[in-house]
Amino acid sequence: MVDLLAAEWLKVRSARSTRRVAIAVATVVGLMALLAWYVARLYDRVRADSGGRAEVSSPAELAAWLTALCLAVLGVRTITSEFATGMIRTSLTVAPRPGALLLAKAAVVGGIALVTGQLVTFGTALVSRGIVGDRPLGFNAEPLSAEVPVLLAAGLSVLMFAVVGVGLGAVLRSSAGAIATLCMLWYVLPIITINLPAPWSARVSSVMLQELPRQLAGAATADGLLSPLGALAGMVAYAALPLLAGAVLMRRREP
Amino acid sequence: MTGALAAEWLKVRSVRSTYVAVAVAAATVLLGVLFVLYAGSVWDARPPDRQPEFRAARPEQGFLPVVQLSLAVLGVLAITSEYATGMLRTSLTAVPRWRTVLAAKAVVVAGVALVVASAVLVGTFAAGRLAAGDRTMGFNTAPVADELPLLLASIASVVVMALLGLGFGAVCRSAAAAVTAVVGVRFLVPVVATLLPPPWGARLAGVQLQDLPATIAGVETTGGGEPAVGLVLLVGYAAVPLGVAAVLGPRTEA
Repeated sequence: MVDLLAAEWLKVRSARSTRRVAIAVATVVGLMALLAWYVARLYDRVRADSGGRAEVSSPAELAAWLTALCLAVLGVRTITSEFATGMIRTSLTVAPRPGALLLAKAAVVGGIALVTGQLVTFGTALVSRGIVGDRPLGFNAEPLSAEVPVLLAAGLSVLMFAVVGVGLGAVLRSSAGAIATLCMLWYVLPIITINLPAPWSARVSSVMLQELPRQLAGAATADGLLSPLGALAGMVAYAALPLLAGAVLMRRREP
Repeated sequence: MTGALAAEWLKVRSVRSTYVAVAVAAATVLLGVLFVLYAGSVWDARPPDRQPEFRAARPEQGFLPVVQLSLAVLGVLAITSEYATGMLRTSLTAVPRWRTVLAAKAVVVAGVALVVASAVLVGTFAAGRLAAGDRTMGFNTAPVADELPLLLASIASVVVMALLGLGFGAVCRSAAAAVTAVVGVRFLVPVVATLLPPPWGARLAGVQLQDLPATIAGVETTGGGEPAVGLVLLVGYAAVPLGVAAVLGPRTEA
């Protein structure tokens, strides 16, 4: 397993798409800093006539949401690029157990996503709070210490999305198919469920991928129906099920 | 050009991904009916005096992103699969002019998108109305003729999404990058735009791909644009990436 991990680490490290994803993540953080700076400047200009109140959604959570997509694409690419080039046959010759191979990929991508997710969320939170200073902009109403659970959970969602990416890639074997499916889960499905009439709107929305982190942090809005433990179970299930399906399919299909 | 068109049609017709994309888009009809049936059960459970105020979204509009995304993927794959397999070199040997190849692909992709989007969106519209019956659920109160402009503009937006996918695919040369870029333009830019404080939020709201069908049809505009301007913008979303791809050339690493 150590060798498998080393092999997967080498593959991720040497692929061009990894660098592109890194650039995309850096751009996300930069954009959030820019957003914070712009909001702060605007606040100074209109403070007199807005009564000194403004509501801006948390740049850190937005950064986590965008980073989740970037890392999920990385997760997809680690497996679909092997299917596209035929490298998968070599990989399975060297490591004949598809389950172990997939697990190693998920572990490497998950590790990268775990570190990236936490760095991005906490980094963005620190930078954006530093930029806006003591202007009351909503997202910095509470001290950073009170925001830690939400930030931790948001960072974890990056890990979850990345592993979902690996699983979907293994199931669908096509970058386009896997990324499109991912985007359905990441964005399209949640906006559809929000438009359902009550009561099923809240019920279905609460198990959408992007709604789970806030419920995990116990900071869910009124329509959150899952306990933190339930949300954690949901996140683990989202990560594990595609991976499991991918392992089973890889064992049964000709590579 | 006829030969190039026939070749592209054969390629689209013979790959499995086309059928997957069309099947996903077609699933919209079923999802739309399920949505209306569920909304109908909520309507039935309401006391009669509260039924008239019930509003449900138009099913064909609610699921429009699914149709748009699946046909955008079709557009992306029409070109990136050739880069991935090296087939593009063969294509350019057979048809040495890049712009002819690209134009033929654009015509075929647009044609498939037009047919699929018309069938799926009109199908969802009709099935939704049938499933709603005589309940007043907001989306089915206007006469069919009043809904036609939005329906036609939505069909056009699907064709544009497919061409946007083809253009991005030709520029990025990678399915992963192109699909991500399409998603960025279609779904991410609107989210980021709503976060921007005025005046930029409002300025960007009027030019979003997601709002253009409503703008063109002259209904429920959030950005409040002119229909003609909306149409020009919609055409621009398809034409600009394809134009860039035409200028850049095939860039095969041969």
